[in-house]
Amino acid sequence: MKIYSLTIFSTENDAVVNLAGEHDLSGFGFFQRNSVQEFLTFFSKTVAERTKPGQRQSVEENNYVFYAYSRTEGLAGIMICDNEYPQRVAFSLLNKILDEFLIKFPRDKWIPQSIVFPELKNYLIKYQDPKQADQIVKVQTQLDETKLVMNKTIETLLQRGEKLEDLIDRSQEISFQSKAFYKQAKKTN
Amino acid sequence: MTSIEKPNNLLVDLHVKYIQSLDTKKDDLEYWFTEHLRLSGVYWGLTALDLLKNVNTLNREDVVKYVVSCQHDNGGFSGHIGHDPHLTHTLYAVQILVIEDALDSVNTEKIVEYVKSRQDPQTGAFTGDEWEEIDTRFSYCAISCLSLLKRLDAIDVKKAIEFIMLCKNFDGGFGNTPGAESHAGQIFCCVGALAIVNSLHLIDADLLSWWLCERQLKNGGLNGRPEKLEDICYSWWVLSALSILGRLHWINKEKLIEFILAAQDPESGGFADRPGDMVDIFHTLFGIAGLSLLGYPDLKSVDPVYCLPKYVVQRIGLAEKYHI
Amino acid sequence: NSNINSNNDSISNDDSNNNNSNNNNFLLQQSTRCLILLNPDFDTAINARKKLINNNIIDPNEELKLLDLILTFPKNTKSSTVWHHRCLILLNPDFDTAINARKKLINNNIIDPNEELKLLDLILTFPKNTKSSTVWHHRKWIIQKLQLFQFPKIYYFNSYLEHEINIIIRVVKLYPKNYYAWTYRNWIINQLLPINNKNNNNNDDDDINDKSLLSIIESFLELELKNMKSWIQLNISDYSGFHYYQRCLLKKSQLYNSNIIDFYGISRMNLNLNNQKDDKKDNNNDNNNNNNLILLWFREIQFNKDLIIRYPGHETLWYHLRFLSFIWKWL
Ligand SMILES: CC(C)=CCC/C(C)=C/CC/C(C)=C/CC/C(C)=C/COP(=O)(O)OP(=O)(O)O
Repeated sequence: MKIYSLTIFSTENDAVVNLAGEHDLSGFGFFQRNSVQEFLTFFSKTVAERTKPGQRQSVEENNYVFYAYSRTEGLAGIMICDNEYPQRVAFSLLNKILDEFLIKFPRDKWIPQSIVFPELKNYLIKYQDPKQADQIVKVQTQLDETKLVMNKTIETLLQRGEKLEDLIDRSQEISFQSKAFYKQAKKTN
Repeated sequence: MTSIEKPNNLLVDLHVKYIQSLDTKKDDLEYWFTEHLRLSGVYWGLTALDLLKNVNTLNREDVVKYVVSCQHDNGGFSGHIGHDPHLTHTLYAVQILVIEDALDSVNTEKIVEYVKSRQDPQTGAFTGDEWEEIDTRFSYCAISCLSLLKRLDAIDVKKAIEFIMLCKNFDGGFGNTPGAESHAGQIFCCVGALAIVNSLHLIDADLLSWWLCERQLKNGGLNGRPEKLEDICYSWWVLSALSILGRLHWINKEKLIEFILAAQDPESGGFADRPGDMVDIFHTLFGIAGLSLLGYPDLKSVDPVYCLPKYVVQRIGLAEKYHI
Repeated sequence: NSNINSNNDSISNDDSNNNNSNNNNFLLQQSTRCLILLNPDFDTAINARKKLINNNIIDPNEELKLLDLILTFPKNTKSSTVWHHRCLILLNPDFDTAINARKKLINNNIIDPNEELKLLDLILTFPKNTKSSTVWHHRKWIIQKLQLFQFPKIYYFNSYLEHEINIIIRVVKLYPKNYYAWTYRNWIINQLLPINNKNNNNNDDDDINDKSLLSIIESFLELELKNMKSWIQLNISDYSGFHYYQRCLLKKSQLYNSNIIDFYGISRMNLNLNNQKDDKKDNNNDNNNNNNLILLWFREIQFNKDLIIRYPGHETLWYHLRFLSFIWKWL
């Protein structure tokens, strides 16, 4: 059971901007970590771009599951876990994080690179064991009214004619080396 | 990838072509299969071709000559010329020679000696080579190999069985060493070996078969242990064991056939570990052999114990000796 | 780039008896050698050399020497490609032969086995390599050679034990449900536990040794049980980890009740036989131990039940319950 990353994006005016993010890549080989991090960030952003405000969404990709929660306030949270992590806990955590973020940072403070939000790291560590979440899960009720969309792959999020490989090829956030790494990696046992 | 129609019938001609394409230079068997697929590759390819009724696609003399060149002074065979001998390669060599009906082209007495020397007299276990890795895989290799050579008398069969039984778990399955987790590949090895030495009564057949049929997933494919991914090769490891135990009907055959067929490459032939992945010769054999066990038309029957075409095993007078 | 690639492909296509191709291979060998000496991150060159190794044109042992040379340049020691190449040479299943050669060098005191263990630590940071039975056997072989886990070294080399466990913990994170890593961990605990068959040494204070050895082993087992219990909670679909945990539980039970001699090769039939507990000396100690035993397994069943409720739909947890109820019936 593993949370790999937590990221918060602003989604105003159709532009998705990374505000804060934390990763835990200790499970990866030392030489892979850079590439993995680039891809997690890239995929998080892609999912955030394709989650409508007011929508909850889960996407399965290889052995990863992306949980996305986009709020009408113009903020989206993306959490990447393995497929053991309970969905119920993931969405509760996202909700909690976004709540806290909104209290701490009013909209005019959403300036990338200037945001210090250490809570994110703490949650990433603490919630590795979902038992931690039981208290908050009980008080979550309004969450369940939001519509939940479940997707099998990232591809199902894409528009007609759009291809994941093209997106990756075009991306400037992913280094050449990581692109090569991605082509080799496939779903393994 | 997802847009291409998944094949729903067996692409015999394409597979023959695919296996042939691994043969880059017919008169030079050293380069017959690429890279790491050498002696084992020849066994997988040749058996697959035979099941596809195309055994003659490969030149018999070249095959035999290559196999002979892999034998060492101590009687064992290596995976390629110049490498170290090993029990698994020794089995593959014997299997190839049995298919080609060419056992007389090697010194079989030396093979027997080699296999015999791999048994630990104390525990009955077999080691893969002089560096003494122990594994029930090697017990199978030794027993299958000597049975094909009709020389089971050369080893301590009773001790060999004792060791295999030490590797049995509460779930009815077998692991690679005493106390190790049950794994479908190891189960094939143990059930196959016990079948050869007429000891299937030592197996909890219902219990084990139950575990085996639980390997089938929603998509029809089989995995090798709980909560792992499905893989075409388990169409062999799991099915052969179920077949030996007479419980092949415990799984959903239609769904499995559909899954195996979907793992074919519709353009250049061969089978992958699962639909959509790259093909290789290992999965190609086990896809085809699995289909053969399931009674798929247009294929020769395969023997679940020896993983050789049934007619070959019959030819040397060994078939159907095992009964649960 | 493409130039080398096409050369590269021709390696396997050309007849080895063909002079032209031999020349090409020679040139390729030399030019890639220069290239990687200058810049070991030049993947294409390294890959070309891998192919040459695969085709028996470059001797992998020679290649290791070249890599040693490359690694004398400080800058190069930071190159992942170099280390990766080094590992691949050793670990490509095809190169059992290379690993065997290293065993011979160890036997001849040319390679220091302690250094080899360090190299293996590194090798096991590559996920793919952790699935190779040969690699794990190599490690086992060295450890046996150094007799790290054997009486009496076990007293002084306790830290080795810790190191091995840490390697495994890292590997199973890197590659979950790793059959060989868990089997290896089981092997370690088996090295420690056959305390009953003393190594026939004519040591006078045999008894004292036995006692302190037993306490080392007991505390190790306690630690394993504790760590594994929190580990399985966070890896509820990794049956390999659960299987190892089961082995630890059985070992612990053995300490309570030596009737539980071994659960290798258990079948329904011989279980029933074992069940007829022979010596029914009704002394207090026995009673206590039996109570402890029942409590141990009862707690496990409760614990597992909670996991099943918390994380629905995981086959592993149900398989584990199957095991627990199997033993429960036996008790
Ligand atoms: C002649 C024939 C058919 C065989 C020769 C005998 C041999 C070598 C049998 C091999 C049996 C086998 C596949 C054993 C399994 C070894 C093992 C424990 C593999 C670990 O499995 P993973 O690579 O983790 O794959 P899964 O994830 O599917 O379990």
